[in-house]
Amino acid sequence: MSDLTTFEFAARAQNTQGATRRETPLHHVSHQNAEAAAVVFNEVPFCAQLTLRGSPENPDFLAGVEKVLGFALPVQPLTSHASDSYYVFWISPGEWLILAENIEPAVIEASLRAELTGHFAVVDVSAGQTLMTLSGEAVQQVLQKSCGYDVEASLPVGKVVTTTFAKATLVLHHQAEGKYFLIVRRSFADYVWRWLVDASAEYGLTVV
Amino acid sequence: MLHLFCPYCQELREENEFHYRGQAHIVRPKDPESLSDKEWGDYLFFRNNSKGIHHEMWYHVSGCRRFFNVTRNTVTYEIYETYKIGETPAVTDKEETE
Amino acid sequence: MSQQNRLAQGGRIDRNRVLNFSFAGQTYKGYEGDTLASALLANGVDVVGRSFKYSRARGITGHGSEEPNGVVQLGTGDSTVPNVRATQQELYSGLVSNPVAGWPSLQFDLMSYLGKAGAMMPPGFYYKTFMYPQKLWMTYEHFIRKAAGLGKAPTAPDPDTYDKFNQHCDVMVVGGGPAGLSAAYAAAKTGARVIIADEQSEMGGHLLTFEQTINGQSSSLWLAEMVAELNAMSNVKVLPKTTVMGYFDHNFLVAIERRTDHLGERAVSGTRQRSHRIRAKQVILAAGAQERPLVFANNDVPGVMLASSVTTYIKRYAVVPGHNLIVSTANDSGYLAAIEWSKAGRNVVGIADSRPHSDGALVAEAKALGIDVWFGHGVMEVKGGRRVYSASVAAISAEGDRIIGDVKTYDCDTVATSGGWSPVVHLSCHTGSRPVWRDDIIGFVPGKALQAQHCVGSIMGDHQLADCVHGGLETGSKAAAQAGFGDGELLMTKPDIERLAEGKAQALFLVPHKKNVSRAPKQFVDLQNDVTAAGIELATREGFESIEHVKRYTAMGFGTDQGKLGNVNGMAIAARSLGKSIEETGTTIFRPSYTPSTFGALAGRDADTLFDPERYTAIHQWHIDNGAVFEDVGQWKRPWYYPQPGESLSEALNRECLATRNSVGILDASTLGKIDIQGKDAREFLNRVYTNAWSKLAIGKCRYGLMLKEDGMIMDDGVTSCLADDHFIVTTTTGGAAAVLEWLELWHQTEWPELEVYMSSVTDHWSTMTISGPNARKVLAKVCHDIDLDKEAFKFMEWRNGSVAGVTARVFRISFTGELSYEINVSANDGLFVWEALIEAGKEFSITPYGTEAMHVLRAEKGFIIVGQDTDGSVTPYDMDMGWCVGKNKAFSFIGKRSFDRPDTQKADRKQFVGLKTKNSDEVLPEGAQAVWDPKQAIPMTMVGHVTSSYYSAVLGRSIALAVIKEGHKHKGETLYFPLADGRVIEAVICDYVFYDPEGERQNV
Ligand SMILES: [Zn+2]
Repeated sequence: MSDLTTFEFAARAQNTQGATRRETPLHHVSHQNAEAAAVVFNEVPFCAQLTLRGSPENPDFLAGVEKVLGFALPVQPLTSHASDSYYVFWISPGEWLILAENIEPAVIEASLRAELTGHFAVVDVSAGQTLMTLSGEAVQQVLQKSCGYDVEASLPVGKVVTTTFAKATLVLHHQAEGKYFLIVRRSFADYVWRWLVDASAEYGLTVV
Repeated sequence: MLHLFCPYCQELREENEFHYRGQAHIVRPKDPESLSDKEWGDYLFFRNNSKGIHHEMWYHVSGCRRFFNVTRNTVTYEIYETYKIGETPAVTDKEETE
Repeated sequence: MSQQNRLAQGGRIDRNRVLNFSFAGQTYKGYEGDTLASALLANGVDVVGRSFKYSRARGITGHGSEEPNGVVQLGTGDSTVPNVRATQQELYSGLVSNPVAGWPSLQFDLMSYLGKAGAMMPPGFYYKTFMYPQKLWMTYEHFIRKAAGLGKAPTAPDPDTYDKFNQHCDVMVVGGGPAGLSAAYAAAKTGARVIIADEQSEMGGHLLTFEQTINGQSSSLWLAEMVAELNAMSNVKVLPKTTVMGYFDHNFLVAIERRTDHLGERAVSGTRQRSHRIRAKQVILAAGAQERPLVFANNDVPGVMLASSVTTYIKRYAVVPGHNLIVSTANDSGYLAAIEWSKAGRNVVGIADSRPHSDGALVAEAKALGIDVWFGHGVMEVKGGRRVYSASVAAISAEGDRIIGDVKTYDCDTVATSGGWSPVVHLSCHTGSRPVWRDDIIGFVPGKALQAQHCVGSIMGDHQLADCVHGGLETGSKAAAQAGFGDGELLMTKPDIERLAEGKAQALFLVPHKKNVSRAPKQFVDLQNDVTAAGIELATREGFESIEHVKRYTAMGFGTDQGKLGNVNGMAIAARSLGKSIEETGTTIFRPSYTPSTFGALAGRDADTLFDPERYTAIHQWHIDNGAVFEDVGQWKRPWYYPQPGESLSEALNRECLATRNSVGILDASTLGKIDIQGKDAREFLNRVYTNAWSKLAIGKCRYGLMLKEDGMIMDDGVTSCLADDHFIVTTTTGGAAAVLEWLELWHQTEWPELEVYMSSVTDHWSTMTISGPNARKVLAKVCHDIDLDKEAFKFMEWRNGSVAGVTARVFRISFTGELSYEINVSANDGLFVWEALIEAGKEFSITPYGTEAMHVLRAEKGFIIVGQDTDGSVTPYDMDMGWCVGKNKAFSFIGKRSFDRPDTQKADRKQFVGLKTKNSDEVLPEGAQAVWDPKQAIPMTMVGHVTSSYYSAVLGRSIALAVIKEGHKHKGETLYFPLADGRVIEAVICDYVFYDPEGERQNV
């Protein structure tokens, strides 16, 4: 064994009390341009996000996942399901996005791997994308400026679509009346944010 | 801008969610080494240039990331059908010539 | 005198709101509600421009988008807009406008300029200029370029903002006249989502200038109620001031809404123009019809106007654009101008009606007002320069083809003409549908609908108000039903509307003259392009029989006018000249944009920093804070180099390279594409898509791989690591990441769905930082305690799980610099923290951040290729001397393999990858420079390859270059020459492409 491995790490103390520091893609964002802002923005930090792949025709797979999540996977296109612990979004036939606010991704991955056999995949993408919420009186107009998708008539509460947003791609989910989830790849988060600031300028935007 | 029905998402989407991927139903030869240069060249480089019915492949890149097929009229841009990979088209050139 | 042509009463203007404006440097007053054109006419401004070819004075002719002459340069400075129609521009206080015709002033005479080149530009000028010797083109180019644009573009960025709105509806109605309003109303009542757009500032169309009784009430009351009701419905969007400029595939329309153009030159706040991108289930075209002028001698002199425009100026703006009027018409509708003129208290000299007789209601009304009506007559010619002063009225044959009696000349200052109504078929043409000629209505109507499209009202030649309203209601409910709303039955009763008695119109286009067409004074068909009847006849005589060729020969319908006024007359004259019917001759097709659109409206917010997504890594802020200069790599912003104060690019570069070679450098490599592959067939899948063999790659090992296209050419490269027997992580080039994933999915989904693999992009999840250099291990050891970093325990081309700075990490010992290197991957949420910890740990070794430029130099010193720089889609692994990457004994014929045996890839003289050393070691070859063996040969020289990468290498103290050269591998040691554009010829010797540490010892320490 080389003496290099016994090298003491003196700089360790420079970590704030030995702790590490995490940052979301939009941790720097704060914005308030109107008293009564008609567009309300929020980045939900550090959600667990996992891509789950498996065959919806495989009953063992479906049962195994249901055991972990506590509910059946939404297998119809563009549907979602939410529980106290999880959101699950249909992304593609045989692909789902699992989102959780209070469970570590490694824990979810381990539970799934423990239950599942055969052909499946679980990929932790928690740091690769971020969850934004958008609401407010003018949310409809801002989405119309940004998305070619018919958000007004074709995206009822509960539905989820992957679609274009300006020149980015994101997962758009109508979470509750007038409130939308935007799940954006990390490297595009800043672009989407700056687009939102611009598109909201005439209505007023606030970050909560 | 075309409006394409994704057979996997099961709804119409704007063209800018898709990539065009060229002529459909081109099958990779099972044993490329057994092909003559001409046969391999045909597979590699030669494509139809149909005026009218054309079967073509599209990719739902800003969506479900699935490939699927489209039967489109290259003159009118009318889309007769979209169907999953592995399925056969319902509308073909023969029917169209009536 | 101010506003001498303004009536004391009437019009839809607010006389209490006086607006000052200027045109051509003169100031005038108008009222709110005016257009620039109505205000100019109110002030008696006759000349608004000069024609571009003959430089003749031109005045306002129309009142809407059909106006060919009153095209102005609006505003000043950065927000100036060329090609604005004075007839469509609402007046605002302080409006500044100038004529745009390409010539310097309204007084400028082109003839004197072109005098020595020829008496005039003949028809076919464009055609001949392009076809004949180039020197003629040089003579005219200056003038053509100036004239063709009709206006000047601003030179600075547009200070206004424009945006886009995506709209979806069940029924889209184009046109807010009686037909469109009725259609929108009927459709909306079913609950369908409806959008109705009209280019005018108010909805109403023809009803804004014409009154008739609807259900016993004035039509203006009906109009007001209809608009109010539509505005009140939540499922209806009413868009006035909105021009539908294009009708595209699958019922996609683009409509441009002018939101602040009526308020001032600059938008005070908000969006100046909004482009609505509308996807409609059903489209109703109710765009109406445009009046067609009669063609006669000198019909371009100011004072000659469309009859409907005269009516509009009087009724809508309370402006009578003259004192003594003669009307020349081939139908009843032209009479309205004389009736309103007379009611306004000014003199109507008479109405020349080409028809033998008419019993129409308007004819009777004119006669009742005491107006002289001359049946069987037409205005043959007018006289005047800057304004009409007389008109010659001749008796013409019933066929309308010759003069049959005396010609009388009357003093007058205004001639209003009506040759009939041309349906606005433009949008229907955009879909690819050819218009169809109908003799009964003397016009082209939209052809067979190619999309879910309906037409109603004047666009179908149905000009009676009853037909418009009733047809509109029926079409609206039918379209709604086809969109899934209602059963098509009307949900309201049709209002009572009396049909007006109407005399049959005559198909008259060109009023005959005593002289034949070629000798008569100019008879203008297309005023904007100065196309005359004689020009069209000349075109047909010269053998142009297709109407599309006649168009291009004469330039008829070119430019911003797009043939709105002139096309049908032109077709008719061409048809007659060819001895064919109009139906046989056909029409040219109209293309978007219907009227000129601003670039701003088309671009929307996709401009400046929002033009394209800028992708950032988690460490981006650190790069900014540490002075990085960024480079675009795809959409990514990557640090290019980190200049210290006062440092040039080459100084910074040399410092970064030497620091890495001599101690340790650090690179943010997070942008590299990363694809997670899971499944029991992952190895087999990799075997098929890579040239390399993967069956034996053990867990914990990494391997460099080449990906080819099926033609055998290199497509991408990267390192793939085995995480578990059924789990791999593939890296791709930064620019190729998305395309490679799509490529892998393509093969999996379409060819090998039976292979059990799943692929996911994890590019954004991982922050990747490379520490490279002889001290890399020492730096890593300070922050990593749970991985045995011993050179034997953790070998080159291996990876380990562990923690770095307390963060879970995956560490790869791979190298793109040839130095001892570790690529540290952590969750991107921790990326900046770990980067900062590495910088801190590296301080004692003067750890140096390096950018993409240093990375390029360091790898070039080692002869490592960059796909897309050293390769261009035309080189095989063998061309690049990378046969060592090709697994020759794999069972499956991997993608691209068969192509190694193609004659092209087998040919002897393929370009091959080599190194180059310039004779002068300080001289750096330009990338892309072409190589020749003999620089003294005659031009064009035989080129044998080109430089793909070229740098100054600080560690070697000389320049180095990589190149692809025909049969380069067997020409090592020989001298090549690179003749450059500036005359220099650089001499270089072919060498091995590995310049530094050829034994590869440094990465194995
Ligand atoms: Zn899809």
